[in-house]
Amino acid sequence: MPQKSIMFDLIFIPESAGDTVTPIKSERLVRVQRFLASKGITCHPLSYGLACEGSQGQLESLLDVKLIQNTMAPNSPWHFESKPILPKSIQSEIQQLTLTALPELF
Amino acid sequence: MPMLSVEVFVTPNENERSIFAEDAIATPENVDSYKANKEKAIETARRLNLRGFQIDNIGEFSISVTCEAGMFTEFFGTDLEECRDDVQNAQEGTPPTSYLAPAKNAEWQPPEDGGFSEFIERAYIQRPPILFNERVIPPFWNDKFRLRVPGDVALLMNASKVHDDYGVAGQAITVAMVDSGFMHHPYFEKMGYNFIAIPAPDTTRPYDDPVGHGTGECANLFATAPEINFIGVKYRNPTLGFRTGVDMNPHIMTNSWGYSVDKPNTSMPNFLRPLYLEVMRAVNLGITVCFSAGNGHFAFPGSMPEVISVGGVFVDEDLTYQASNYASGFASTWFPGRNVPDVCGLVGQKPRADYIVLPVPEGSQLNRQAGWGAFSGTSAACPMVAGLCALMLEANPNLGPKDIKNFLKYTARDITQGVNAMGKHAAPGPDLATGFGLADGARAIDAIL
Repeated sequence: MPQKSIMFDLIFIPESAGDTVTPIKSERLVRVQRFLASKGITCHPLSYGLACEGSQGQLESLLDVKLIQNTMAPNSPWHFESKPILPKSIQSEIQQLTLTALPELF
Repeated sequence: MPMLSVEVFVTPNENERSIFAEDAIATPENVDSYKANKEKAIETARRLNLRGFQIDNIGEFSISVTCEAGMFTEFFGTDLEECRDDVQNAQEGTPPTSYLAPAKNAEWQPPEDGGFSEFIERAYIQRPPILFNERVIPPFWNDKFRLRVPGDVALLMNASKVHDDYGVAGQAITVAMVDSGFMHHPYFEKMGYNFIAIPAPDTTRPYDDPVGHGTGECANLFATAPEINFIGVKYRNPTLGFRTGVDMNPHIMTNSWGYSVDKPNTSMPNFLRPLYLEVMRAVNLGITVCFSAGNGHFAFPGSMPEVISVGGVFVDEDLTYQASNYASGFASTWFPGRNVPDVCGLVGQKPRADYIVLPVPEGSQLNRQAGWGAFSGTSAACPMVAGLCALMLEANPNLGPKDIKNFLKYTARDITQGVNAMGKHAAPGPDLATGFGLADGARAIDAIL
């Protein structure tokens, strides 16, 4: 049975320190996107990072961390057991990695 | 002269079976034994064609033909009468469909000349089927007072006056809405709305809406701005969905969703920063961004100072205006000095706020009957206000997001009664129950012209 995909977002380190206005240059996004694609992770560019998704196994192997499922929280069903570790080759690009939570429809 | 579609059954040979025999039982295993004799079917079709019938198809079981009603009565020596389908007529709002069928106890016999009685066993006029699909106009449900789109919503938001007096209805203004999917409902077709739906890159089938939320809520937007160019964005990851909407370069974005997170003694969690940045960027690009204030939620991004935060006002059948007890209003913890909402649209009351009759896909979660549901919430209010923003932008394309918000706030109808979902009381002037009050299309347009 195929594993359920898990969505996560990456925010990149700003182009220059403190600059939260200028979108991230696409070369930087593509470089990380290619690296993650080689690990089976699908990514789409955002203005300041990437929206990504992959299977539980792919994420656990990529981030060297266990993912715990919480079926009681349907909008944010996953969390990390410990601090995730980004692969060295993309560490210098990424400021923040977070699991995506789904919003409520009002 | 009406045309008839007729299925003609060929008389079986002695060793063949008739589906009209008393002991006939068709099953998947034996159905082939009811097939018509091929040579005989072709000969029957040829003869019918010579008598003026149009042969549409020679099928394995019957021949499909088309003929004028008069030709049918003459050929089979029968009388036809006009019939109506009771079930279909019973559905209010469905135009009555009539069809011709042989009169009760009428004679029926293929003509002797040409040997037709040897060839034709039966011939049946095909009735138009009842389409079990969505109804085209909102139904009346009499169990309680409700609003219907587009008229009631346009009237109470004072948008009808703008459409009628100024001829302003949102023309050439693009509004993007990020939501659960957008079915091209027959209602939208009938109203002639400009409607497309696109998927965010991580999803597919934008016209599929299993919830019914996006389909229903965009009807509120069209109610106040019927001539906009509408782009529905179906999302999975909300940040990516929002970004996809921004990429379509709209003038306005309306978002009927959020997170209940801007609570006392909290700060913004990291997982919301990607969305926060995208919303901020959209406003920087000059897009007017509207978000729902929530239904008792401490809603983010509805609490962002850069967006137009939309709460709820309930108008009852006596035209009494009061704060909806279903809608949010609160002072943001994350953005000090920010009071939510800015202005309001129309929202029902607790327990379910089933206040506005809206089109939804048949079979969706919000479907109540025949492709219509009854719901509201600040999800409904937000697109109503976004529609008013579209009217303002058509009237004056130089307005920026801040101008639009200010004009909406200072021309809103002050609400002085009622208590919102957080227990905040409406009072004269701006308050946490309804912000500056119910947004008013005509007053906003008067102010900017």
